[in-house]
Amino acid sequence: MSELPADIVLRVDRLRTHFELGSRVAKSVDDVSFDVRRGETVAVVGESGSGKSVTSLSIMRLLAPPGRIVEGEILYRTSDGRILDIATLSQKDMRRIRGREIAMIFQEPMTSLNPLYTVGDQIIEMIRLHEPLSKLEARKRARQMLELVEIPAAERRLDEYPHQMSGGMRQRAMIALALSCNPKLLIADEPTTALDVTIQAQILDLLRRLQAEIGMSILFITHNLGVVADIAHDVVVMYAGRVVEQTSSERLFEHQKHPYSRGLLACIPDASRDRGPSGERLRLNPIPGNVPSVMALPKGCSFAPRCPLRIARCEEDPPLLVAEPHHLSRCWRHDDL
Amino acid sequence: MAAVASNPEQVRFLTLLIRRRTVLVGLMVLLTIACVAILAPVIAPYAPNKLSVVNRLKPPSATFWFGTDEFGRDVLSRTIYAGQLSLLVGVCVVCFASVFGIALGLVAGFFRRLDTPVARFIDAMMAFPDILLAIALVAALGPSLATVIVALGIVYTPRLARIVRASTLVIRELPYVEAARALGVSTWRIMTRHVLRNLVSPILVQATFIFAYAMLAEAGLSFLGLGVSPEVPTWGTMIAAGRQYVGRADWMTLFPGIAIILSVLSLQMVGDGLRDLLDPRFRKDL
Repeated sequence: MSELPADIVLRVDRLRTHFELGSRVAKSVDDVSFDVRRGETVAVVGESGSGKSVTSLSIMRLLAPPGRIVEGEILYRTSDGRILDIATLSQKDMRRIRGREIAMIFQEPMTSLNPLYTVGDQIIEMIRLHEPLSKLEARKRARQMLELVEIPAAERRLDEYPHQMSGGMRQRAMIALALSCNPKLLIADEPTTALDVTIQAQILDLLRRLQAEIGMSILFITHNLGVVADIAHDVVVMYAGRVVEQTSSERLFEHQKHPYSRGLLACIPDASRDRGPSGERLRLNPIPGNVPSVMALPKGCSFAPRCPLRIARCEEDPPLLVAEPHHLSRCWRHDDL
Repeated sequence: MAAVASNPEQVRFLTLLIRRRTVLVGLMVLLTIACVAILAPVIAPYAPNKLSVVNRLKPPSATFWFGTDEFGRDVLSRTIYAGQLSLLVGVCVVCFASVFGIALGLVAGFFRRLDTPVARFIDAMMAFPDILLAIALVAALGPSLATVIVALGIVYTPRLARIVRASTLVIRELPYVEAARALGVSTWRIMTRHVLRNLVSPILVQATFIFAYAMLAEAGLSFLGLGVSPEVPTWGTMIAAGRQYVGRADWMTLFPGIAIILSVLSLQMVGDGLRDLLDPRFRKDL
C-alpha cells in the first residue's frame, strides 16, 4: 500500500470514474488527483456536468451502476492510523467508513432528512449505529450536536420534524447529523446552493468554526467561486471530467492560469461595479456555450470551443502543466494569462 | 391508559386517535362486526342451518328480522355466523398478500439486478384473471378453508408487490435515502426504516381493497364449489345464493351485502385515518 504523508487525510490519485452505457463510455471523472490535508478545506469547483459530484460519490463509493471507478487510488487515513484504498474497499468495510470516518452533506436540505422521523430520532439513529450508547446518552449527544450547530432551543428541536424547520435550520440539522460521529472528513456537496445568501454566509461561518474547533477536513463541492474564497485553502477547478487548474485559493483569486477559471470569476456579478463609465448598466459576463457532454468530448482541449484565447495548438490535448510552483493549469497558453 | 401507553409518543398517538372522528367511528363499527361474528352462537336468534320449509322466502318480519332464504333459514342468523369466516378469510388473505407482496416489491424495487425477473414474474401472475388463477390453485391444492386463503393470498400478492415496487423505486432515489447511505446506514435498515415506513399509506389503502376483494372472491370460489363447504355460510355464498331470487327476495342479498359494505367501509375509514396519523405532516391539522 502506498505511503501517505502524515498531514494528508485523503489522497485522490489519478482517479477515473466512467459510466459505461452500452458501447459508449462517459468519462465523468478522468485522471483527477488532489490531496486533502488535515484540518483544511479543498474546494472542487465546476459547472454542472464537470464531474465534481461524481468525484465526491466515488470517494463515498456511492456510485450507482453503470458508474464505476476504472482506475486510480483513493487513499484515506483512518482515525486509528491505517491507510486504506477506498477505491478497492468492499461495501461492507466501506459502511464502516461512511458516517464514522467520512460523512457527507447534500445540496437539498429540504429533502435530505427523512420527513417521517423527528430530527432527534435521526441523529440518535446515526449515533447508535456507530457507537454503543444508550438511547438516553445518544439523545444527550444529539442535543449537544444541535447546540454545536447553533440551533436554538435544541432540546425542543430534537422532537420536531424536518417540515417544521426552515431550510437553513434543516441544513444545520443535517450538519449536526453528519458530524454526530466525529468524522475526520466532511464532504459537502453544494451545501449552500439551495439557501439564500445570508443563510449561506451563516452556514459557511458555521463550517469554518466547526473546522477550527473539531479539526476536521472538508471537501467542498461547489459551482460558486465566491463561496470558495470564503472557505477553501486549496481549489481544484474541474471541467468536463478533468482538472483544468489546481492551486491554493489565494493564488487562484490573484492570478488564474486557465481561461475557464478566469471566465468563472468574471461570471460573479460585482455590485459595486454594475455600471459602466457612462452610467449604463453592465451586462453579466457569462462563458459562451455549455460544458461538452462527457460522451462526446471535442478533440484536443475540451474547453477550446468556448475559449477566447484559442490557438491552433489547442487541437492537441494539453496535459496538466506546472504554471508556477504549486499551481497547475491545463492550458497551453498559461503563460499568457 | 397509562399502563398501555407508557411513553409520550404513544399517549399523543392515542389522543389523536380519539380526536379523529372517522377513525373512531370506523374502529367502533369494525369492532362491533368482529364481536358480533365471534359471539355468533350467543347473539344469533336461530341456528344458521335450521331449515323451515313453511317459512321459505319470508320477507323481514318480527320473527325473522332479515327475512328467510329459499330453505327457510333465518338470514339474520346466517349473516351473523357468516361474519366469522368472511372476516377470517379477509384478514388472512390480507396478511398473506402483505407479507409476500411487500417482500417481493421491496426486493424488486431496491435491488436493480432482481428487478427485471421479479417484476416480470409479478406481471405474469397479474396476466391471469384473478378468479381463474384462484380456481387453478384451489383445484391443484384441493378445496378447504386453508387453500382458499392461500390461493387468494397468492392471487393478490402481485397487486401489493407492484405498488410497493413502484413506490420503492421513487423513494430509493430520494436525497434522504442517499444521505442515509452516505452516513453508513445498512441496506436492510434503509429498506425497513426509511423506505418501508414511507410505504405505509399506499400499503394500507391497497390492503383495505384486498380485504374486500378477498371476501367477494371467496364467494365466487364457494359458488363454484371450490371454497368452504356449502352449509357453512359466508357473506359471499349468501349473496351468490340470493342472486337467483333478486326481485323476489331482495333481503337475501341485501343484508349480507350491507355487512360486506360496512366492514369494508369501516376498514377503509380506519386505514385512511391511520395513514394520516402516521404522517407527521398531517398531525398538526388533526
